[in-house]
Amino acid sequence: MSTKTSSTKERYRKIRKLRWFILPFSGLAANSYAKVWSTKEIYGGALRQGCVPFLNCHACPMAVSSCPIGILQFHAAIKSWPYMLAGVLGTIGVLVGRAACGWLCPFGWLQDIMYKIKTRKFTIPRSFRYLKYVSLVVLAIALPYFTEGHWFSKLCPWGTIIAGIPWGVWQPINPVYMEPVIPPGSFGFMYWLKIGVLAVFLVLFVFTKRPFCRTFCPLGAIYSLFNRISLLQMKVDQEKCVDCGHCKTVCPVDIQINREPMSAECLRCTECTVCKNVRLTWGFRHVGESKPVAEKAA
Amino acid sequence: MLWGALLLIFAFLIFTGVRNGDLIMTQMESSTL
Repeated sequence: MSTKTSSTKERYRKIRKLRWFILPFSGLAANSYAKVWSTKEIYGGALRQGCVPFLNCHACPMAVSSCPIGILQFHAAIKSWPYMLAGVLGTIGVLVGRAACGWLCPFGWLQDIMYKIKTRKFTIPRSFRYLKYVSLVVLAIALPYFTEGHWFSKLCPWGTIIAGIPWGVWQPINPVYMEPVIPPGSFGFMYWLKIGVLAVFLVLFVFTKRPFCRTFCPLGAIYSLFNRISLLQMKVDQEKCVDCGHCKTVCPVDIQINREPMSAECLRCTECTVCKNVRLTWGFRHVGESKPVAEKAA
Repeated sequence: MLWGALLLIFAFLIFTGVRNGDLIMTQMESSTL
C-alpha cells in the first residue's frame, strides 16, 4: 500500500515538473517563425488557419498561428458567427476545462515566474474574478461588434510583450516596397496606453498570483464556463482532508481545492497534488465518483 | 450523454465553420498586421 502511495506521489511530482517544462516551450512553438528577421514579412501559411488554445498574439513577428481572442474579435467586428472557434474552444473546454491556461499559456507562466520574486504578497478579492467576464463581453465582443475595433488586442499586455514592443523596437523596412512594415502612425497614444497597461500588470505579477488570468483574460473566462462539466477534474479525498489550507498556498489562482473542487478558476495545473489527498480525475462522472487517473494507471 | 451531446454539437460547429470558410478568414485576418 505504501509503495503504491509513494509511486503515485512520484508520478504527480513528475507531472508537476512536466508542466513547468511545457509552459515556456508552448510559447516558443507558437512563435517560431525565425525567417521573419531576414524577409521582414510575417508568416502567412496554412498554420494560420487554426488558432492555438491559449493567448498568443498573432501580430507577433514570429507567430505561426492565430490567437483565439483575436479571431473572436475579428468575427464580432465583421458580425459573423465564429462557428469554428466556438467548436474548438468548446471541445477543449468539455475535455479539459481550463487546463490550457495552466499547462500551455506562456503568459500564465510569466506570471507564475514573477510571483516567485520574494516580497510582500497580496490576495485579489474573490469578486474581482468576475471582471474577466466583463472583459470578454465588453472588450472582446461588444466593442468590436459596435466599433469594428479590436479593443482587447489594443490593451492586451501579452500582445504588447510579444508584438507591440518587438515591432516598436525593430521598425523594419520592407525590402521589396522600401516602406516601413509598421506605419509610423501606429506608435501613438494607444501604443503608449498598451505599454501603461503592461507596466501595471507587470507590477501586479510580483505582488499577487496570476492577476491577468483571474481578472482580465477573456479566454480564461470562456474556458472557466466549462470547468464544472469538463471530463478532467480534481478529486479531493474529503474524508482524509484536514482542511490545512496548504493546497491554497501552492495554488497559482488561490483556490482551496477541498472547499471548491469544481471551481471555475481551477487551471488543472496539479500543483495542489503535493497533498496526497488531491488527485486528478478523468471520466464522465463528477468529482467524488471518478477514480484518480494515476491510481488507474498504477 | 451530456458530454456526448456537447462534443457532437461542437464537432458540428467546427464542421459548419470550415464549410463557411472560417479557416481562410482566420488565415487572412491573422496574416495582416
